Amino acid sequence: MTDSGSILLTVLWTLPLAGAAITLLLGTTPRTARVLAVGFAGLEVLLSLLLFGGGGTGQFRFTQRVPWVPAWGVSYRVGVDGISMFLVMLSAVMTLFAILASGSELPRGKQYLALLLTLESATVGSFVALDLVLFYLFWELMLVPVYLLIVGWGGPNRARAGLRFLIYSFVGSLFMLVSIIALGYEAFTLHHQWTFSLVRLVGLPLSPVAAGWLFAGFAIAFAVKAPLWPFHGWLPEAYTEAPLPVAAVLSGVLSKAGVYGFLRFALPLFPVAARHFLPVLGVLAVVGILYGAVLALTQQNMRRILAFSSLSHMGLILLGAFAVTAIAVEGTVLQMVNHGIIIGALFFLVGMMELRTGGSDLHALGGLARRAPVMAGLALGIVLAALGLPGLNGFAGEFLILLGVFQRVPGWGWAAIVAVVLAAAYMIRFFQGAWHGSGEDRGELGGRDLLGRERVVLVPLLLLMVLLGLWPSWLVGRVAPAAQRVTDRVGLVAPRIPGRGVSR
Amino acid sequence: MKVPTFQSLHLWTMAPELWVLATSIVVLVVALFMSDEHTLTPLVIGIAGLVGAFWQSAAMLGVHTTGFYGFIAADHVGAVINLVVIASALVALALSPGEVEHGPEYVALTLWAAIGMMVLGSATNLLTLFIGIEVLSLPLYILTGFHRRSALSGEASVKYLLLGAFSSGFLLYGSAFLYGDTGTLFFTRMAYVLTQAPGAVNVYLYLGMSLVLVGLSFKLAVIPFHMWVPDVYEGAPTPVTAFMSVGTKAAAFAAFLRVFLTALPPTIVPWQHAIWFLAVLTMLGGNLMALGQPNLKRMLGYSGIAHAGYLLVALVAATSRGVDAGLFYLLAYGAMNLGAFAVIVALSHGAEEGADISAYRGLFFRRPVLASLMTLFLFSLASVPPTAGFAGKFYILQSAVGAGDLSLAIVVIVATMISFYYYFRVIVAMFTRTEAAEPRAPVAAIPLVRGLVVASLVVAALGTLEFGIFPGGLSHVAQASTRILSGL
Repeated sequence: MTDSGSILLTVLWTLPLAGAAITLLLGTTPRTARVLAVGFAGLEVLLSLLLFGGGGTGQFRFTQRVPWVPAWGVSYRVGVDGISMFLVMLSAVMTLFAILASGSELPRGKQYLALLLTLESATVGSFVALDLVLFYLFWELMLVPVYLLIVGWGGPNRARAGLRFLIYSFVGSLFMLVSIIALGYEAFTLHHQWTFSLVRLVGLPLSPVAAGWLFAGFAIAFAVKAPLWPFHGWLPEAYTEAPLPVAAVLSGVLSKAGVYGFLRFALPLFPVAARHFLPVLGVLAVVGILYGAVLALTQQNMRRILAFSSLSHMGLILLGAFAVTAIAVEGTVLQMVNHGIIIGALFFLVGMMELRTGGSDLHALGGLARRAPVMAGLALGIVLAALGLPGLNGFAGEFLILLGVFQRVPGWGWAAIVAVVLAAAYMIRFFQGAWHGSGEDRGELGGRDLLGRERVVLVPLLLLMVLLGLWPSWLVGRVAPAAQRVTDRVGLVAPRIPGRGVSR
Repeated sequence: MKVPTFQSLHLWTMAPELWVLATSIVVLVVALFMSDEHTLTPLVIGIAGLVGAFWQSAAMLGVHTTGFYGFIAADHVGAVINLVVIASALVALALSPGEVEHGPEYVALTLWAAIGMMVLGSATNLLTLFIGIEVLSLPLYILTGFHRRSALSGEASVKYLLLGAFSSGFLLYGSAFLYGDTGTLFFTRMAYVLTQAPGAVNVYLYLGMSLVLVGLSFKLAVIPFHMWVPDVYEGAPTPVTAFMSVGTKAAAFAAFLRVFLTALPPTIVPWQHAIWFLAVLTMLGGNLMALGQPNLKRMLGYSGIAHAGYLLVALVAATSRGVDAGLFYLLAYGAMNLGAFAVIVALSHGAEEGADISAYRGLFFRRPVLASLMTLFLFSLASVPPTAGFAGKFYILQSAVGAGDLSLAIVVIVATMISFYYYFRVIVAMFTRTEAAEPRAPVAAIPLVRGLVVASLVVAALGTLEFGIFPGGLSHVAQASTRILSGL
């Protein structure tokens, strides 16, 4: 690490923030505000593609280090490796589509767009931060825009949903704050110097008891964010009350920050404690998978179906992280990206359906396929990706995760497979209920097929799903070295499965 | 012994205090020649004088000496406290038009109270300490009751006076014991005596220390000596409340530092358990009692109690990092708390019920800028990054953990979790759309008055963000206060 380093990552997290400010200042008409926001989000996507350059993905690249508050041992350090680069891209892409999917006729549109861009800045920041305090700062900064977006533009119960979301998240993160400071102190007692740099803290000798508590502090914060069952109390309300593009970012990108936290911080910092806790966490993840799937099957509201399906899928992704075999972690990262795209697309889709049918209750819907055939076709593609059809992107990630989980604890794997079957059931129910059968259109766009601005959202996302489904190796190949580092660090010896069937 | 001369007084060590005193005299003299009672002239003179004093205090950062034959400290801690006190007095004066009858006597009383606070912050012995406390308290009793027609204001004033008199009694009685036991009034000398003569650490010392602790705890609003806070904060005119909640707290905290770190070093007199206990009680109690408050000023009163608890955590650490953290927290608390009160004032212009939380429902849709600022200040009070409140909380936690007291750090965290609820409740209310489109509350008509409120808001908001995002610069301001730790 050099002191100057690359400024690319700094640009990546400051650009959306600048975009937010400029949108607020110059977005005098709804149209210019939208153009500005789309411009900045698009530029962000293009810049994030530069992350493909810069050498091996097993190490941190594009690093930059600047002293920030030396007296406190806090520094500004950023860098990406094979895991975080794709998450940065995911948040760039999903924010762009969230902005595109938001109608320009929203009340107070420029504030809304500015908040979405601020949120992007905080998410990107938390994916690139390599100093624990810096990470915590971005982590907390994510919550405020989400909260404001929920209460400012959400559904009828937004106040309650927003308060719940805030309190759950902030309380969760405070546990992490204690752990961060206590960890810094452990380093202080050893080196007589406070430091919160991840690179310097990894490998710090800790007593097993201390490590256990510190790990728990981190784990609670990440478990609330992901969310891991039973820390999901905020989820159903937040996902149903949030405006749908925001729900898409929330479930598509922010939930990934929780898993990322485990992979980047909790597991490498406390490998011994992690080995101790992982069986418990794995069981919780399995419970979450089944619980979410069963509830998704019984819901009558499209938004709630998606909310619980997301809980179930996040359980599977977490399970991959908790299995910590190289294959499982690769699958986890791949599936984070896949699920981000799929669930985002589903939420966007629900938004478009609501504009036509005027509601999101399944029994009030039906027959959309006849009136909007193009949309129905795209919807079918997205749903098939969601239920893991081979050839589309949902399959590859789930497959790798299951492979890795079977290596570790076959029992978890069987439970997860049950959930995959259930996923097929509720996704088909979701599709059939809305698109087939009979029903009337009561929404403002009633009777119209896909509009141009909706096509701009759904078609590229579907193309991404196909691309990632047919050719996952360009992603997995870059994730692999970083995933290997995580698993080596935790040091659980995985029994080898002869002839592992993954093409590299 | 040398014959005392005027030069050997080292008058410059009291420059800010004297400057403010001179300003108050100018205000009163000018008032004699004023025809109209309601002009803004005295207020403007007062503000100008305070700005001068602010500048002088800033020049004294990093100095380490005494003046007035050792009766007044001119040191880093004193200078930081001066800055906080002067800033809060400035904001109090700037917010006053439209809130109280801001005649010359109002301005002079505010300035005198500020002098008392500054003297208290620079006390080097029990005598100066007591003078400081009295000089700050007497004007505040009057200022609290300045809404002459309001029963609440009068009640608050009487309550404050009675309990204040009580606390002064405790303080004096305790001082007498400390003097009797150690034979000196000076803090540094006291520490010296205690290290040299272990026999001095006896029951009288503990008795004196406890009584002084009670007396000071009244002023810092530490539970269980906080009973006056909610009523006084609610009844007093809002600018006065803002002034008290920041200025008095800063001065009282400095007194805590000087008595407990300079005079009674914890290595000799083990007081840490007692204050540890008070800190826990104050943090948890303050936050729990704030939960159900329907009135924003009362809520901020209880939240102020909780923040006093966080300050005590920095004291219990009894390290130079702890002192720094406490001073840093004071600066941060000053910015965010004054900001919150400035919003209350800006909203109550022309409306009486400005401080009820129900009046904040849907504020964002009526006054988006004010509501956004209030959100910033409340997030900062709840210690959400990247605000001053978070940086301060982080520093305090670091000092507590660094002193090996993880349990206290956990109590801070638990208290913060509780506080989320009541701070966020206000934010939620502000962003809840109300059905009826209420008319915008009238903004103060006079441009200067409006300008003063806006200036207070802008400065507080900038401070809240600046201290939060670049705490490095400020931690230099707070640093170098190690010398307050007695000879250790």
